Amino acid sequence: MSNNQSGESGTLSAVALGPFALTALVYVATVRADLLGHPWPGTAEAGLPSLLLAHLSAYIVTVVASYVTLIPYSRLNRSIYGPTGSRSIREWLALASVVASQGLAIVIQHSTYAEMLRTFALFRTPNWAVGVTLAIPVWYIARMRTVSVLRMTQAFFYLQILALPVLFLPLGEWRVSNLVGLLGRPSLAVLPALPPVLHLYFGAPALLLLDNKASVTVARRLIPAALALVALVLVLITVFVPGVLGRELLAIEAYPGMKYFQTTRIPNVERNDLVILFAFANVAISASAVLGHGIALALGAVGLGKEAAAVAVAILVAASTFIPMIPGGSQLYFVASAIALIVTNVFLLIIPKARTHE
Amino acid sequence: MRKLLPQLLVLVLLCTTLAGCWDLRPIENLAMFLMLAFDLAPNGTDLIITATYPTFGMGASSPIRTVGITAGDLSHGLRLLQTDEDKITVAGKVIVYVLGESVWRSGRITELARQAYVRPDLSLTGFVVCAQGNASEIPPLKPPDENVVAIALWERLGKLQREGLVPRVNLLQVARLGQMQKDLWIPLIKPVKELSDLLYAGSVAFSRGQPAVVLDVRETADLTSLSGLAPFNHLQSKQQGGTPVSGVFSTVKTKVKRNEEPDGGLAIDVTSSFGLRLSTPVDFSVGSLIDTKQKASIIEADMTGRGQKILDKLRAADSDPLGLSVVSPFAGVAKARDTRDRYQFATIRYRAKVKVMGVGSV
Repeated sequence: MSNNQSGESGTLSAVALGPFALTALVYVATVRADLLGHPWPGTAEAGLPSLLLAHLSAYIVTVVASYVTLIPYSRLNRSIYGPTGSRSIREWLALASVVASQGLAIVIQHSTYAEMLRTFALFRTPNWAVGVTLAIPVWYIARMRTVSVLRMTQAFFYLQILALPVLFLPLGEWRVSNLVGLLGRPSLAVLPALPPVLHLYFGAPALLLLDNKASVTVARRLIPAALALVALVLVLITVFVPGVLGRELLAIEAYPGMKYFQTTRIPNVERNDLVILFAFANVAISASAVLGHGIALALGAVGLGKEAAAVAVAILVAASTFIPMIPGGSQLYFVASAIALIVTNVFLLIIPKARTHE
Repeated sequence: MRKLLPQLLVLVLLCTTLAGCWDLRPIENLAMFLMLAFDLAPNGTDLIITATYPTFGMGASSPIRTVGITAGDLSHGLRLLQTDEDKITVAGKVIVYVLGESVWRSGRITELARQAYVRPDLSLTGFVVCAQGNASEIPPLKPPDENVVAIALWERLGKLQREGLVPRVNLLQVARLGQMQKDLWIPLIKPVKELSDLLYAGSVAFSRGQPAVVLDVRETADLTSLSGLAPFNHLQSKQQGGTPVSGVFSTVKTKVKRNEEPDGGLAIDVTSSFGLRLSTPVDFSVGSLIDTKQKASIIEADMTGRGQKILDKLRAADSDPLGLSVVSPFAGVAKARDTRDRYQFATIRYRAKVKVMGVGSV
């Protein structure tokens, strides 16, 4: 059974990536639903300069890494997804780290998103019901062809555009004076808050693992768009929310991102935070489907079967909703995620030496 | 069919797991709080929380029900309310928070607002008002225009705010108090048990979270005019020995300049520019232009006097609701604190500039 995607015509390189399709794909790979749960308490302790400095460093590293690993990614795709008889240890490790990092990104997203759903909206719905509701669409989409996943991201992106104005409504409460307490000297207190948002920076590289035929040309178009989007999201994170809530309120709330949306009310809607929370349901599903599709391709390449891989991804999504129940679970997977993402990129840097299958 | 059956089963499973199946509750079984009123218990630490909610269904004997408990804090209180009530309590629909005199005089409003802020279900956009006397007297009232007191109060406050007569204060703003920004002034209401109604009684100006001074209705309106909150504001000034001059202000622009005095003190120059539409009878004679200018100068002098008076009163009480002592955040925290600390001893010079935008009946 040939499970790799080399024989399919519905690949990224076969699809004309227009500006809209490109934006949609980049959006789901970069902006994940757990972004709403950005942990600001560390930020309130360290101040905005620390947050900006930390993100700026990560951003520069990502820009450099994205371009340095552009060709290695292309080779990696051919190497690990392509028809191969035997793989080197290096290739096996790269494959394993890809699966692990994509899988952990899914775990982080769904555990955080499910926790927010339970906290703000579905107080009485049991974990398994939330998990199954999110897992079924992910399973359904992850087993599709790449081109179908791409079309799905576009369809979901339309819904996101509809919810976009809600993002700007709370700015009526924005005050420069709220930033007064946040403009101290940079300190390292912000570091514990960073691992959960690290994968934001790896959205662009993750896209390149989607397809064994994703050419360097496609990659060159994807990466700048993704990096621009990351920059935009960071402006929203560091300017909008602290300017509305202020230092002291940032420090005492676990989900200031959700509180940001609660600060305003649309007539007849009452709770804007729920509009955003449910608008992000399709982000959670489509981002996990894109990541899950990558895993399905990777596992398909080693003969596990795409269907089986999609089921595994769905189980992962459902199981993620139970992670916040495990004592200390959140810290553990944040650290694991950071390690997996760093390891993946280290492997990518050494891949040029690996055998290619042109 | 063999392929369709599993897909149908998955579809049915998806439908059964949808959130509504678990979180759906009939409206008759809900106690949706519209108003929460807070007083301090006689021991000075516990809170007396009084809530009111509309009743639904055929068996309801009254359109509203009022419940009250004494608890250590807000979360504890809401838990107790859930325990005491047969219905499922919903706190996310609160539109008005009423602070009793014991609460706002104790200076615990920020603490209370932050207890509400950290709850995921409480609305941050609900109006906050201070009450003269006990807040617990307000929920049982049945005002003549609307028998649900929360809605009556919400509508009246909304109307007054649209007219620029009272400030609009929500829970978020109270929770943010204490940070280096403008102080708050919160509308004040007075329950009238005999009429089963509410009266608007002015506002309470705070200084860093502590109550500083109570402003009457006219002072509150003057302050909203200065702050630019009022989209239009009527004013009537009396000419000495002549007829009254009246007009409507349409635009307000306030400039604040902080200067260091030679003696080391702080001087704050405040200039407000008002656009005025005179509502005096129109005189088309040659002398009417001069007359218009004279009338504008009368109003200008009146506005300057009233503005100076209210700003001096607030400064003496160390309350800064206009943010006259708020410096740019880029000046640094130390500078911001220093300016705020010197505000009470500053010299405030206020000047109103009135420009006649039009003449005629309004």
